[in-house]
Amino acid sequence: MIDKRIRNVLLVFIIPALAFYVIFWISPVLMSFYYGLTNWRGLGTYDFIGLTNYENLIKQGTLFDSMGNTIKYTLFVVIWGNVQALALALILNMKLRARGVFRTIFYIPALFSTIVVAFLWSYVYAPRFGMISEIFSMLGISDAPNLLGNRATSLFAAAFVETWKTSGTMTIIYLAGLQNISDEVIESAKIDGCTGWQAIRYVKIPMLSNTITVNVMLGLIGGFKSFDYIFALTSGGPGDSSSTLMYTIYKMAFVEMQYGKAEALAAMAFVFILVVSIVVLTIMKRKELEA
Amino acid sequence: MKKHTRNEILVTIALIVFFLIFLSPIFIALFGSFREMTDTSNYLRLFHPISLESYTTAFERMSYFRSLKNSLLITVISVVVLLTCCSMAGYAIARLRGKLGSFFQIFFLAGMIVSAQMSIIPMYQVVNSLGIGNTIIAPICLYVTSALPFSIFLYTNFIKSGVPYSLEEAARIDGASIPFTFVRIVIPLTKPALVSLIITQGVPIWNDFFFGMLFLSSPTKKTLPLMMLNFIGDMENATQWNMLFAACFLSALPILIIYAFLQRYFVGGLTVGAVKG
Amino acid sequence: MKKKLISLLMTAAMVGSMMSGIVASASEETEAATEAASEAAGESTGGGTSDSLEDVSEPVTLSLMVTTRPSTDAKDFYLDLLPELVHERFPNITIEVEQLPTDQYKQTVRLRFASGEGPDLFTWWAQKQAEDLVMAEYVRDLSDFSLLDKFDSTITEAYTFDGKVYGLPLGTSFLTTWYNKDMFAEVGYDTYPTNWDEFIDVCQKLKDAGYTPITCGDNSSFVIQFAMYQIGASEIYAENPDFDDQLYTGETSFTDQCWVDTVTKLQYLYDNGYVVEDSLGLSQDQSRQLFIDGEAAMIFDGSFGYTQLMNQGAADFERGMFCVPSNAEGEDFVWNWTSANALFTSNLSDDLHQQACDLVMQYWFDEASPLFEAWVENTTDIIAFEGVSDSRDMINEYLERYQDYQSVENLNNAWPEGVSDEMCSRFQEVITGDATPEDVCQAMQDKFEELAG
Repeated sequence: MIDKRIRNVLLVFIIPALAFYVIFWISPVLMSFYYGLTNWRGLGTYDFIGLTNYENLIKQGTLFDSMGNTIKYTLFVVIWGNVQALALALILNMKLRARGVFRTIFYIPALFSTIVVAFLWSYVYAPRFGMISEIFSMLGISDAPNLLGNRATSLFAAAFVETWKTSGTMTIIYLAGLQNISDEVIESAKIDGCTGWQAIRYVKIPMLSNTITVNVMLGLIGGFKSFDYIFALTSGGPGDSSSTLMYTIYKMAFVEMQYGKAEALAAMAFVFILVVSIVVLTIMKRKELEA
Repeated sequence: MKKHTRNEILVTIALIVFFLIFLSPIFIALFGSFREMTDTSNYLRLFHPISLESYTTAFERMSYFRSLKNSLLITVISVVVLLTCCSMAGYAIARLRGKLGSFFQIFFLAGMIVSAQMSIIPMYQVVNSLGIGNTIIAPICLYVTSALPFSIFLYTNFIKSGVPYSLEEAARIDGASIPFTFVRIVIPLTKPALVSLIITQGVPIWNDFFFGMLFLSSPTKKTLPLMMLNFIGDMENATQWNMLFAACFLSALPILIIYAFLQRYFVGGLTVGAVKG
Repeated sequence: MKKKLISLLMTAAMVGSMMSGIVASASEETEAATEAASEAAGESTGGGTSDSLEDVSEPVTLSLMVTTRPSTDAKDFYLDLLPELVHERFPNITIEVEQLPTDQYKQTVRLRFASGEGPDLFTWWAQKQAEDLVMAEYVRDLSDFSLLDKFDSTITEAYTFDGKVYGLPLGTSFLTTWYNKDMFAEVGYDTYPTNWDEFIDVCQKLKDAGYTPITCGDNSSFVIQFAMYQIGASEIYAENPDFDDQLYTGETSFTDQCWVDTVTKLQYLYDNGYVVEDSLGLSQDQSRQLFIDGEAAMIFDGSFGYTQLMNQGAADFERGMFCVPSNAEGEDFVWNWTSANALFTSNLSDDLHQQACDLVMQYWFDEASPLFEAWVENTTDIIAFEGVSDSRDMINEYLERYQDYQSVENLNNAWPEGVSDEMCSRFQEVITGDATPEDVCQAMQDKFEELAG
């Protein structure tokens, strides 16, 4: 279908992006993989030690320990993040007079820096005088949950902040996707007797399947890379109960100064995440075709 | 018609309530920023003596206009370069059918998985060996690169679902070249995707301090978020939250304005015409 | 209409230029005046060791990195005064200052050195924390620095490796327990406790009186160190001051009884309800606020908390400080007193930069220089420099009170970085009831062996 000449022009189109990508992304990553085979501390000299780091990591089970938390965090971000953003986008796509205002303010959380967002939420979560505690005591319940200080909840408390912060981004992507569905399609669905909900469920959502893929991938990879809110809100605690993969890698590399070992862990994590992402992407694409 | 209006009012009220709750943490910051500078009592007690002290001090300490200029320069250049690279590559990948197309899609997608924290030392070495350390080129290159994988992914997806290939074919039969169809047909049709990229990728670049912190050491080159770091404490020194909040609003204000302007591009009218085309 | 506008603009421009002329000449005058004044001042004080120093031969820009010390002062010492005063004295030297929060700071400084271009001047921490930089030969040996003997030699010791001094100590600090004197008086304590039983007694009495005895911001897990190092001081080092050295030879271990006892004592405070409930959800800022609002009688903190903790909160009360006495009655008490940080210079800079660094340091630590004066006035650390005493009475009283007792540095200064983090996260599990003190000690020993090996 595409002749060679067109193909060559298209390949030229890829070159600028490819140049940036190879120089600043691929080559550092390959170098990191190399450091994973050394005992470098991130400073001074180092020796090549082969696969020792990998052996130690597998022996200590580090990958799987932090993987559990990462998966929980990711699932939460993907599911809740998408439900929230899709609902917001559908509502903000309605023909309301105040739509412009709402479409501006829903994005506000994304405008704030991570550090400030984490601080604000520490006042939402704080026991005794935090926002949640105050609401509970207003309702006459004295036993407000200590979300950040509880091993069972601290991970999700941090994940929730992530979905709050990224809701703007995901919603925008859904909004852009909704622009592709012309009013005529919805109108004709309504003429066919669809209720508002049915129109959403059977017309809009299938037509958004492509956008859903984008946002699921966004949540998936954001979740796997989760670091900021863990760092700022829980420091991986209490204990290790909210320590995610990236947080573990950061601690290993820059606190414990086991840079080589951290890179080995990063390489293992990279392969794992890549495999999961491709599997999810393939499944999503198949669903898209069905839809 | 009447029922329609009543529904609208109900939805509007529901939305107002929702946003009041949803944005409540922001109010903490807003009220905090208007407090006297030494007032650190519980931030949930909102109404305190009002003072602009935090704003004036933060304004001065951040060298606001200089940092704003740096922020604008870095963000605008990064976004322009990013959009150029990603739309070209994204388009090409969408139209390159077969193995080559899927190879590039996965190849770029893999980049999303890499977190900058993970390979920051080698990145630093690459930047140094290119001799662009302590120039704004360094953070720009890294912003563009780190945003590329997702941008290409989103753009490719958008073209595949939203830009009918038949349009381009028709143009090509009329003798249009690929660059011509790309600029004249594809770009206008993908405006919503481009605008959403400007916002979703531009705002994190504007807010980021990580690459700036590592690659810009001269105080005169620092951006707004980098100057905000000056208010953050550690285990010994307390963070100056009131000033940090003020700084945060000062640095969010320019993009909020830009955003309020850009969001109009989501409103049906503009894009519907294009899609019909 | 147009003409009017133009003439208006022209007048405005003329007025403007006249005004700026006036302003310019006025500022010239003041400049001249200050110059004369500073010359006069120089003559009258005289005798400063840096007076004879000559500027470097060509313009040079030095990079200086410091950790963020948020200040509300109009002029910050590192950001404003230091570069200004140095430039005034040595017109060829320009200093570019970069300030970052601690975590980012450590990462950035190390990263820059690792890729061969560290800051010319920077501050860093003592002992084990500086060892990597010294061993990699990134920092310069300052043993020959002419003013070195002006610094307290016991503090300089913390920056000495193989008999060579690498850092000029910028001050000291101590971990301590701040307490509410009014609440203590109310339960019958006119003074601070001097042994463990008294300490527990006062906690119990406070609790019985309906107060929260202690607040801890354990969500910021590092604060666990503040309590642990105070308790550990007497518990571990009274009997064996060489405990840390022996960790490396294997003669001692974190699993030794003294460490288990240290952790157990801290656990005891939690188990008996002396520490604020839900402490794991509180940040250090929030915990400090509880103390100054009079909602808790004590907080484990340090001399560095002075500005924050002396702030007026919701309650008005007198503050005091004591170091947790974990010793039994009649046994030796050891307190925490530690080197805060020191000024280091890069070994990677060229000769000209190194020469300029030397000039800056000689000027900085010359008692007669305005820079020295500004430093003494603005620092929040306790300066350990000959002839300088702290301006804060509470701090002086504290140092005098304990000066005859043995003191130890922050315990983690002797450990590879990472062990203290392990201690804090494992102790969080003790608070939640998921681990025992023995688990904490074992985890610390394991981490120590992994990192020290």
